[in-house]
Amino acid sequence: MYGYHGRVQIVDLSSRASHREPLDESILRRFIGGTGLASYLLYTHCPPGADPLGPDNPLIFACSPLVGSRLTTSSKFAVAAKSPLTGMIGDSLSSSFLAVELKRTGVDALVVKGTSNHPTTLVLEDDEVRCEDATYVMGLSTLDTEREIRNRLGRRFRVACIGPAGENGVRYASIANDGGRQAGRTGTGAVMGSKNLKAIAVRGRNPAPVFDSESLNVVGRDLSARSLGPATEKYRTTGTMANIAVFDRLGTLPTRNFQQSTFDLTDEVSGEAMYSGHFVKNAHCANCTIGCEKILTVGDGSRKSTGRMEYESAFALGPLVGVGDRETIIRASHYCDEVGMDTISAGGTIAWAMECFELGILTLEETDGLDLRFGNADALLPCLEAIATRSGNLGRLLSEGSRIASQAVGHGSEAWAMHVKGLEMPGYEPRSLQTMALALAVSTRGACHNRSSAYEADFSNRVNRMEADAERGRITADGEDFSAVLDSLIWCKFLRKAFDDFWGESADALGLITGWDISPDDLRKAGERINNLKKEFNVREGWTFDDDTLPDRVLTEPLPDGAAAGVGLSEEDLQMMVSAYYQARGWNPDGTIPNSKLIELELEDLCISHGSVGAFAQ
Amino acid sequence: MTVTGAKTVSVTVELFGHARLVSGHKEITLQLPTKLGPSDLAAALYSSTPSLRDVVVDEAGHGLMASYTANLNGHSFLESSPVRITEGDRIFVFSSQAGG
Repeated sequence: MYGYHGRVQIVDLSSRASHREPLDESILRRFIGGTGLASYLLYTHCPPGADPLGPDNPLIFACSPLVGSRLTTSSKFAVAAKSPLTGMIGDSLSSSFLAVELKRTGVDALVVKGTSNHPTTLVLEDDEVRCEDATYVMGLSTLDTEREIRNRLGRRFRVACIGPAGENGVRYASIANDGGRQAGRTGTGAVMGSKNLKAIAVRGRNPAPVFDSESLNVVGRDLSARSLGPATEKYRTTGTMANIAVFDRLGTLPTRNFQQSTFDLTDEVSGEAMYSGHFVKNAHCANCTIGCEKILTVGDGSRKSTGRMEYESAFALGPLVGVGDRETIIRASHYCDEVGMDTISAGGTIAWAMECFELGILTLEETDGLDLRFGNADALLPCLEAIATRSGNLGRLLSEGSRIASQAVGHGSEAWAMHVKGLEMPGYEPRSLQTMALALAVSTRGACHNRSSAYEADFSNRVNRMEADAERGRITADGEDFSAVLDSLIWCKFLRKAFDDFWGESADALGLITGWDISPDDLRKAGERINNLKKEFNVREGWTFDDDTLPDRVLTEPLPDGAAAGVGLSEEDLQMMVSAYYQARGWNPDGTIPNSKLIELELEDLCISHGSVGAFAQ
Repeated sequence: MTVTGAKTVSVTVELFGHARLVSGHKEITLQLPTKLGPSDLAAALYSSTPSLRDVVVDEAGHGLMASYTANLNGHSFLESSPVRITEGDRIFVFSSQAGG
C-alpha cells in the first residue's frame, strides 16, 4: 500500500491493552484521511448515546495520505470525539511535526478508548505502545508539558497535550502540539482530560512509501511556488488579524456579544496596530511555505508574553467582550493557548456573562467580585483564570460553555447565548453575511467558520450578503464538500486559492501518492460522503430539525450600526435557506438522510441500521 | 488626482492590511470617475501612491493585484462591471483572501 499504512492503532486506557487493526483500502478510498477518516472511526467506535466525558467516548487522531509527502502545508492531522459542548460530532484540525511523527509510527490513525486511573502519557514509539505516569506534568501549561516530556523522552518525540483547562474539565478545552498549535474547537481537550490522558508522545521511523515520488516532487515544487504568490499574501504579511478593521467597516465584526457589528475601538485593536506594535516574527508549520503564524509579544521581564495571534482570538477576546486594550487581548490569547482553551468559546461565554452582568442577572456575588461589564479589560484575565481552573462560582459556571451556563442561570439568558448546537459563534456576523448564516446553522459541529468557506460568496458580488435566498443552499453544500476534501487530504485552508484547479490537482496528487486511479468526481463524492456521515452521526446522537438554527438574537434583532445598519435575518428566511440546503443535499424535508442517498454514497453498510456500532469496530 | 476626460468626484479610499502598512496611509483622498471600474481605481492608486505598486496595483498600473479587492461603502464589490460613485463615497481596499 502506498501513501497509507493501512492500519489503525487502538488503545484502551482502562485495560492498558493495545492492538493494531487493518484499514482496508476501500475505507481509505471512501473517507481519504484527516477529518473524513476521523469521522468514520468515530462513527464506528463511539457507542450510540455515549457520555462525551465518559470512558466510551473515543478520542481519535487521524493522519492523511499527504502527511509525510513534503507537499506544502500537508503536515496536518484531525482530532475527533463526541463533543462535550454539542453532544454531536466534534472535530478539529492541527498541524506540524506531530502529524508526520504519528504517521511514521506505522499507523494512519490512533483511537484512544477508556479512562486511565491515574494521570498518563501515552507513548507511541514505532510499534511499541506504553503508558507512562504523567503526575510530574500535571498542572503545567501546554508549552511546559511539551517541553518536560520531550526532555524526558528525547527531542525526537512530538507531543500533543492538554493544559490545566483540559485537566479540569473545561468543556471547550483544546489539545496543543508543537509549541502551542491548537486543535481548538469542540472541546476535544476536555475529552482527553476525562480520560486522565495528559499527553500523547509519538516517535516513528517508518514513513509510508509514495507511489511516484519523482512526479510528486514536480507537482510539489509548482504548488510551493504558487503558495508564495498573491493567493496567500494576507497570510504571509499581516495574517488573519487584518480581518478586524475590514470586518468593522463591512459591518460584520461581532461586538459586545453580537449586539453590534462595528467596534468603536477598532483602531486600537486592529491587526495593523497589533502588527505594527507587537510583531516579532512569522512562524511556519512543518513543510509549510506560507508561514501564516504571527508571533506577537507584549511586556518586559517577568511580564513578557510571547505567542501567536490570529483573527478569531483577537475578535473573541477583544470586540466580542468590548475590550479595546491591545495588550490585554494579546495576553488573554496567549493565556488561553497556555492553559489549552478555545479562545472563541472562551470569549463567547464571557460575552454572554457580561451581558447577564449588565442586566443584573449575574450579581457581583455570583461573579466572585469581578466587575464583568463589557470592555473591562481588568476583568478579562482573572475571568479566564477562573474558567481554566474551574474555581469559584463564575469559573465553574463559565467552564460549561454558554449553552449550559444559560440554561443554569435562566432569566431568558438563553436568548443571548450565542451558540449553535452548543458551540459558540465565530467572528462572522450572520445577519450581514447571510450565506454564512446558513452555514453556521446547518454545520454538523455547531457554529463553525471552518467547514464550509461559505463566507467567500458573501465577500463577493455573487450574492447580496445582506439578503437571504434559496441559492445559498447549493453554495453552502458545495462549500462543505470542498472543505471536507481539503480537511481530509489534508491541505491547509490558506492554500486553497493557490490551486488553479483544486479538484484536478488534488486528484493528481492523491494518485501520485497512492497509485490509485482517482478522479476529481471521486473526490467530490468523497466530500459529500464525509458530510453525510457526519450528519448521520449527529442524527444517531439525537439531532433534530430544531438544531439547525441560529440564536434568537440573530433572528429577532436587526443590526444597529455600520454598513449593515437595519439589516436583519428573519426565522422564515433562515428556514427557507435551510430547506434549500436540505434539498441541495438530497435530504428529506425534515433534514434526515433518505436511505437512497446513503446507498448512493456507499454508506449503507455503516448507517442504515441506526443505533448499532459499525462493522469495523465489531 | 483626475482621470482624463471623465467626470470625477472626490472619494476616500481606505487601505487595510499590508496595503496600509507599506503605504503608511490609513486612507487617501482621490478624484475618481463617477463610473468607476477596478482599472480606474488601480490607475489612480498607481499614480497617487507609488508604494502600492506591485502590492495592491499591478506593475503596469492597469488593475488590482489578485490579492486585493475593493468594496464601495461596505456594499458592492468592484468587480468587472463599473459602479456609480458619488462625492463622499468610501472605497475599502483590502485582501481578497477572506478567511481567518
